[in-house]
Amino acid sequence: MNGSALTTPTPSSLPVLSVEHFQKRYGDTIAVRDLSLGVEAGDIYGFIGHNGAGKTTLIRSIVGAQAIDGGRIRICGHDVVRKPLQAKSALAYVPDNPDVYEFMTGMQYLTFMADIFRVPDDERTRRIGELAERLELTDALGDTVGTYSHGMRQKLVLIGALIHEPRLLVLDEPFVGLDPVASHELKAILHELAARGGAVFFSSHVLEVVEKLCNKVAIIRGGELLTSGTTEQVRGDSSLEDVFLELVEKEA
Amino acid sequence: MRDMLTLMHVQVLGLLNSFAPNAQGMPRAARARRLVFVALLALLLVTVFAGYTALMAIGLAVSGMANVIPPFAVAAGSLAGVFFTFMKARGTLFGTRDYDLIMSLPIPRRTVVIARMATLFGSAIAVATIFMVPMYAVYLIMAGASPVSIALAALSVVLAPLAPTALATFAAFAVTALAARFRHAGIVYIVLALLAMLAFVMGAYGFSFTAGVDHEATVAATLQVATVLESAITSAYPPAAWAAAGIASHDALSFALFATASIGVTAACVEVMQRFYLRINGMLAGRRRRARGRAAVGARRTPFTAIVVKEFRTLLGIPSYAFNCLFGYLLMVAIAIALSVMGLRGILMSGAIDGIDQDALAHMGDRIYLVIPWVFAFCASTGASSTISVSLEGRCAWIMASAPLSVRTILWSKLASNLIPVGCSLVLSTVILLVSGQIEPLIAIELLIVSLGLFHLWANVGIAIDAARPNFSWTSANEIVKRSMPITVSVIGGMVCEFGFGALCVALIPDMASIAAAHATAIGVGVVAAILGQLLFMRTARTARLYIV
Repeated sequence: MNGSALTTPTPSSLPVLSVEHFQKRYGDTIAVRDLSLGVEAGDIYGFIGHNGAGKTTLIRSIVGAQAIDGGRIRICGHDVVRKPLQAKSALAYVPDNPDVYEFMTGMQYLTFMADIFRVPDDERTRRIGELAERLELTDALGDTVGTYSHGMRQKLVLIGALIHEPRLLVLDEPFVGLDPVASHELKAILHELAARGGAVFFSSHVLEVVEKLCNKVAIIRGGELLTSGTTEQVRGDSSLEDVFLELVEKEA
Repeated sequence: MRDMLTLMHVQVLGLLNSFAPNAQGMPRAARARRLVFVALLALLLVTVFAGYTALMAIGLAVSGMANVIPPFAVAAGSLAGVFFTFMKARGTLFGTRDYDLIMSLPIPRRTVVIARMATLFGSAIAVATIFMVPMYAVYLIMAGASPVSIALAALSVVLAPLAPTALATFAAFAVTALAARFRHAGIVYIVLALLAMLAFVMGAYGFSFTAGVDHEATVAATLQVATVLESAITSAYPPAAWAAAGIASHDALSFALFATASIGVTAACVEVMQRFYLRINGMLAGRRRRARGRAAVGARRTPFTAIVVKEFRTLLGIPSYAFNCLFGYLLMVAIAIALSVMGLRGILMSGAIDGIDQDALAHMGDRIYLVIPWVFAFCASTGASSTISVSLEGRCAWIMASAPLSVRTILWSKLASNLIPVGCSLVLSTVILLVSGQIEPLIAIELLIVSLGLFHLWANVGIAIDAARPNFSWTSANEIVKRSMPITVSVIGGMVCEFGFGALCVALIPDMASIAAAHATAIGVGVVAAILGQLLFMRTARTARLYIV
């Protein structure tokens, strides 16, 4: 394992993320049923749905933070259940609530993440410096996380996620809490990651952002995938918002 | 009143959740079964403690010292919860996660503070009940009961812990306020509070020592001792005398004085704290650790070392966690120093330990040294911080869950972060005892094997429970540190083992076989415990899945 997942060779024919017939239940309730989708290198994939549709459930299973009841999830060909360490080494996760260890300073947290992902000294210094400057967090990195606002924590988690140049960046509602400047910078960072051969998979309620940022989208409702494909295919001649509302109402 | 009950209801739900985490998808019946199990366990513990205090009271009554029971019960019931209250106050009153939400509600601040303190008062009254009710029962049976004495005794159970609990909370409040002025406020708070707790323990020991001098007089004149003992208790803690006068002599004025003092001190403490509640929480929330210049990127570490360091930071970052786990280490070193200064025989002869006198000591001979490893094993087992380290990840559990690390690496790092300070404290204590000539090298080895072996076993029992069913949904770390199943099972299991095997090695085997056989048994227990602990760790690392839910 090295410090940069993007430099780790994987067969180009393999999708960065492959979800096949995924199923998850909580007790007797089926949260997600028979869901399949694929994310290729260079994709920015938007995953949209109403509250409780199953977005976070799928995301948590993709990043290996939750058990899977059926189907299969692979990251760069590595099964997240059978080869969790290889799969996790290739991805990074930004949860919906940016909760990080409050007793650490921002820099201690980033150093911790760099240690966990085995990022070499020179690379960690360069990446932390660059990303902190872009997200305007440099001056706060010496403060304890407990004193950070929600947006600052979000930025910190983003830097921690990007520190090892993941092949797949998984984000759950990443734009919540970010100021307009940081939001703009994050979009640029996501584009750059995709351009370097990485892939981005994120959930959002902000349909305008998904429409402008993503080349592929999927819509989920009540744990079932309603549609997926390129943004143009899904949207057609309408706006993504119209399609989403139409699909959701029709299925209801 | 309705608002206060609503807030207390939330705390009750938190309490139940700490005993049986309401995980997503967990069947209601399974949770109910777990709560019933916890209740039965609590009932068992209460029965044991109540039985012990009843036996103690019977002992006093049979020795002609029944008049000592009421003041002793009030003093014990008052002070028993002080230690725990001091440790819990910060996590209950200050720095809670729901502070912003609660303070934004249209509820008077005084109500919020009283509702939060109700948890502290409730647990102090529960502890007092366990101590006082059996003693009163014995006293009232032996000395004769009247409706007035029964009513006043029942009232004193509720009143006795009020003022000490309020004062202990106030002390925690003052230490928090003082520490918040320092740059490393959390660490300063922990150091100040640990020193205060050590002073409390030493004070209690000093009181026992003083009482112990009188204990020698029991041989000469029991009644005189009863008078001296009663006088010692009531002079050290006057409210005990006022309450006792009410219960024993139906002295309404004295009891009214006791009730007024209890309620008055409590009300005053609550009033001061509610007035400064916003300020103290503001100091804790707004405390900024400003970097001197730009923060430098930390040196590269292995993931194992990174997690060990992170665990140390967690320990020092959560005061109640630090108190729970660091006090055992501190106590080990303090005991080693005390032994090196006074000698084991000196401490045993001080009278601080019931039932030990010159004759008993002469009868025990060299076997008294068999006690030492078990004392240190007990201290070590109280500092099992790793048993709750999975649950303490809380809302940050996603970090470990999505990290490219094996469960073995994560759990081993957490265990190592616990083993290192326990090992260092034990080695330091052993060196102090060896250098001061208090123990032979064989006892030193025995001390390390027994303490580390039993610690390893029970720490791994706790880790296994915690990893199998972690509780990430806590709102205050106290829910995990003070009441969770892993730490409770680990500490109580360790205690049972240490007292059980300790009694076997100290009291039975030397008589049945020889002192050498007792030493061999102790070492054997330590080795077997270490092996069992390691096997359990391997099993947990193989089977556990560190998921978020």
